[in-house]
Amino acid sequence: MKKIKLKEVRSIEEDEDLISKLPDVLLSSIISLLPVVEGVRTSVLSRRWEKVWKYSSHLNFDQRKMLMPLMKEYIDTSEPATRLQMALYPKISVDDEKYLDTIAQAAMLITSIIDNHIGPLKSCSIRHIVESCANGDATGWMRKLLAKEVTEVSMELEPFDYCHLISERVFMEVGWTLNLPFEVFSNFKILKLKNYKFKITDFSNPSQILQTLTLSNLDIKSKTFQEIISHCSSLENLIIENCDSLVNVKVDSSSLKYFKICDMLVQNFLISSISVEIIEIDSINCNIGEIIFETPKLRVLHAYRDLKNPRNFVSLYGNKLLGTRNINSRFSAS
Amino acid sequence: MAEEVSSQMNSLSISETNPSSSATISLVSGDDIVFKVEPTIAKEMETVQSFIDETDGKITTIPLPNISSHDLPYVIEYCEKSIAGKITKEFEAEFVKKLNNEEVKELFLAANYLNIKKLLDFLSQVIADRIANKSVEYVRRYFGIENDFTPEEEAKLREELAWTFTGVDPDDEDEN
Repeated sequence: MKKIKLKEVRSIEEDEDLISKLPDVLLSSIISLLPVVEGVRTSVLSRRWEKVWKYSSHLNFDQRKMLMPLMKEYIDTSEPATRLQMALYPKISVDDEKYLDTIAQAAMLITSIIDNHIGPLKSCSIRHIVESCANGDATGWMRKLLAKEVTEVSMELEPFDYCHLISERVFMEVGWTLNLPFEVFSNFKILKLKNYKFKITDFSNPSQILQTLTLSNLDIKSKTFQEIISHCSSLENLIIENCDSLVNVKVDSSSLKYFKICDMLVQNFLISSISVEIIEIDSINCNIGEIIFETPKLRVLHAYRDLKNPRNFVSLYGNKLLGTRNINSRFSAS
Repeated sequence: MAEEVSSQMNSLSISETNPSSSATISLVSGDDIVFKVEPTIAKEMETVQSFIDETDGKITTIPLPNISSHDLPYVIEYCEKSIAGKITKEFEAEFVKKLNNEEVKELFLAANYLNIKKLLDFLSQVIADRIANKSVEYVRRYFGIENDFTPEEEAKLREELAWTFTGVDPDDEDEN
């Protein structure tokens, strides 16, 4: 066989193709695919592996699945209201782990894993329990992820299924209210938020890299929403799912290219975006008012509905189902 | 998002414009077996393609000393499916069923060497699935890792990380 020198081509010098000869970065990429807890466990494999997880590109947390079976036992045997109360006044002896409840312990682990990760961390998803939203841990994680310059972030509050058991309204409110710094909407490239009510205090921020924003089942005021969108100058993809509080909305963005709205009741929805090329409408109910597109560059419009869900049907005018003819006439008119 | 939708729309036109202009490429495995493939297949293998590009397409026989004739057909099969746009969940499930742990690792190394991103990502997932919820001993055996901790060090580490050990499959401790 003729020997040809492969220039600038990576080659594995050793003949034994043991996986342990692979660069750490490839091992880290495998670890990135495991749930965080399992990733961290690989530290015990050998000295070399002690650090591998700290370079994984992705961290994937599910708070309720941490510290099993203690977590299940704790949640099954305690009152939701008591837990929330503890979450709100936990600061008595935070130094001593013994005094922390299981949820707080899991939250502390999440914090320490983020702190100990060396990076670079490309993406992080956190699904957490109500209590960690109430006591501000969730906001704290967001701030840490901002400081670590993570590109893609997904934060989800697990369904607050026992809110009816909590008599005091104030507890219910804090359980799902996320206090966000506005940097969240400017310094991540891809952001998904699910199942929150959120508050934003300060809108000023010069650097803008947010490209894709997904808002899912959020209680958000139309005014706040519009303000966010108007500040996101590099936003290209916007997905809104099941945010029924957004009844009268104007989406005004010159950078937006893709817009999807699904599973929602809307009244007046105006999408005024010169760059939008693709719009998807999925199972939207618009009985009163109308959806208007001021989108001169629109190339593709997907409109469909989920027949299995009787609540939802696509309609642009009154109760009429959306048909191709409606869309065409709408566009030629605008 | 937007890219996904546009790529769906463009997929038709892309598959039509693919004239096979140049000659076939010969890939030579580490044990000197020659595999003739279409140039489009070589394109999927970044390492091979960059070599072809560097020699302006004059050299069409590429030695791959790190890949055996046992593994190369799998790689080629995956690339063929990939350019045909037929990488489905079903195909991947069937593909991986044929492979034992050793073969998965070999293919992973081959995909890394040839720089085939899709195959590398897919096999990373396969390996992650195969070590998920497994005991430390199992994962050591799987990767061929030598435990270089002293028993005291390991015990201390296990204690510190006790919270990560709660969901492990107990039955796998002695599995080989």
